[in-house]
Amino acid sequence: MLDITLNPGFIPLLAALLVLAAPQALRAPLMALSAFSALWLLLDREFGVDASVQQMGLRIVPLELDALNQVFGIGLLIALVVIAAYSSGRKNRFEDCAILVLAGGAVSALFVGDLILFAATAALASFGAAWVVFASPLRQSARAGVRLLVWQGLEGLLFLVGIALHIADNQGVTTIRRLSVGELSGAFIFAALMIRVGAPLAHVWFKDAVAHAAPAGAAAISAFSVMLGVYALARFFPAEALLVPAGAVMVGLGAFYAAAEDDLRAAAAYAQTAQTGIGLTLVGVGSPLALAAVEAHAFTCILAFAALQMSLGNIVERRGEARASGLAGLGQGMPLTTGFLLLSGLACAGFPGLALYPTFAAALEAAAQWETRWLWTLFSCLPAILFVGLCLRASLAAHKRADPAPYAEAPYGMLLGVSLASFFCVALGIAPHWLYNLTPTEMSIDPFALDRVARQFELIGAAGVVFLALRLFGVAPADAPTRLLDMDAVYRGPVAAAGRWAGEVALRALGAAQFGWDQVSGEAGTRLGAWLRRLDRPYVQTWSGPAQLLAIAAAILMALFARPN
Amino acid sequence: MRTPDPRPRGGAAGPWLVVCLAALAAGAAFDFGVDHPAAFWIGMRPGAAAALGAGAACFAVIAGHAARTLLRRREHDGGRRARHHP
Repeated sequence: MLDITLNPGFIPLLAALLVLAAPQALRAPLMALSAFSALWLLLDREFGVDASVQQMGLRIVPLELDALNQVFGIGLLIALVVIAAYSSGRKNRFEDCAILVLAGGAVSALFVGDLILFAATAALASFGAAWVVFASPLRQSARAGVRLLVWQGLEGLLFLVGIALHIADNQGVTTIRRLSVGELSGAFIFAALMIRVGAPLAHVWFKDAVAHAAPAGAAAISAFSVMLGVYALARFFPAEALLVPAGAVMVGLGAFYAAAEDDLRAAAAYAQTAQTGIGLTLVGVGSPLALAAVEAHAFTCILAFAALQMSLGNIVERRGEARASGLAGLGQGMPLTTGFLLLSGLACAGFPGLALYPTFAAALEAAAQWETRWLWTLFSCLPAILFVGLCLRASLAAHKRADPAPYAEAPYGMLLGVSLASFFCVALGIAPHWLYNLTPTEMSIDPFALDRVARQFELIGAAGVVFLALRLFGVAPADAPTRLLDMDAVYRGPVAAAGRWAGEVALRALGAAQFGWDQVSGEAGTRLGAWLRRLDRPYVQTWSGPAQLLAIAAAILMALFARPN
Repeated sequence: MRTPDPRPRGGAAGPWLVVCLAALAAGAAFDFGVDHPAAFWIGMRPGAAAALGAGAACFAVIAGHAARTLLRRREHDGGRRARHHP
């Protein structure tokens, strides 16, 4: 065992520096090696605080391992291995480095034991995510990166204020423990985490970043950004009642847009928002089973949505975009990608035997009580909506005939990455018990009980039949190239216009102020110069000569009469 | 502008219909045939999953129409915004 305290997340960060200088052939192996090394470091340690140091009177804990962060860590590092394989299919040194910074920051944040390091590593992950978007060759990606930076900057600011207040309130105690929204410090940190998970009103940053990132970058953002927030909420705010309505709104919002969005990468991001909403809701419920279900569900979400984003990324790599309205001929030109797209879409929809199903069954079990029956119903509907929105729409569009088949299959490295991710989707779906055993609370449910599997088949089958019937009768909308408005329309539209107007007003006010100052200072300078010139001409008879003589005479007289008696 | 015909012709619609019908039939058969643990409310009763699935599909269709009617981004607006703002 190593004697030094090395957070597993630091290894991808170190590898990021190497990747910048490494040749193309070595970059993907370096990324995968860093993930394997971090996994080894993670699994080789005992639970507990490894070491801590004092910095400026504050206790800094670089590594604290327990069952909660171990589950998330394993999931993220497996995702990094998969993304490393995927990234070998294209050349982008800067994106590789950015992905490692993003992954390293996220994994480091999981394992630190104090708030200061948590905020620092989470900010590093945010920086990595923004860099991933900036490194994308797609149109408008730089602007999307700027928007992401604004969101992440706001999150970091809220974090810093919350931590500062927390330190002030708790006599310098920075160790991670349960926080309360009722305290000001807890409220700031809670608000920061709401941005991180993409809560309602702040959900647009996620789909915006994913839709503008390059194929590998989108998978990385999907895997490493939002789920860190879910972990932090489970760590800081378990059983927080506010999370229940917030998560429920995320489920509804995500399902709505996933069913309607034409850009399938954005639709997948919305679907992930909906699944994240389930996680938030369960954290809010806060029972031991609910918290264990959150962890397992986050684990499967990381891999299933990474697989889906990679499949869609293959299409983007060849066609430049992945819109449902533009998928005609995909089945002919890219049959393997079409197959992986279908498999990963089914996994994300919780189809029995694939990744999300067993953890979704656990989530349903955690919500199966009279008090939370509306949550149970909401959760139950989500797989059907995602099946229609992600699988059926895409599959029907992909198998439309287009002559001739214009695009070739994705590069080998990308197909390797998707197949690896799909393998994990199937493996987790078939044998979920090892994942159940990793969670802090032992989950004894049987996801393959006949009544559960039958209900899920019935749900998905009915949704498919009704949707296909509605398409057959022309009731369902046709796939047409559309771009939908969301919350970003507010800050890209009216708020941006207000900002422009305020900027113009401020510039004009500044100009007027500068002009006025120039006038006043010019006039004052002229008068001062004139006065000085007058002083410099003692021979000129002015009123000041007699006045000076009179003043001197007055002073002499005062001195004479003021003599002491 | 001529709107595309949304009705599926050929392609994957037929196989998907068969798969979904089979899943529905098998699921419903086992759902009604298996002894259930105590259902805590009506949503867990036999057949309720089919109703939820049908409702979810209708929601997806309504969401598609509503989004395109209410939330469709006008291209000329997008262009103007894109020019002026990141």
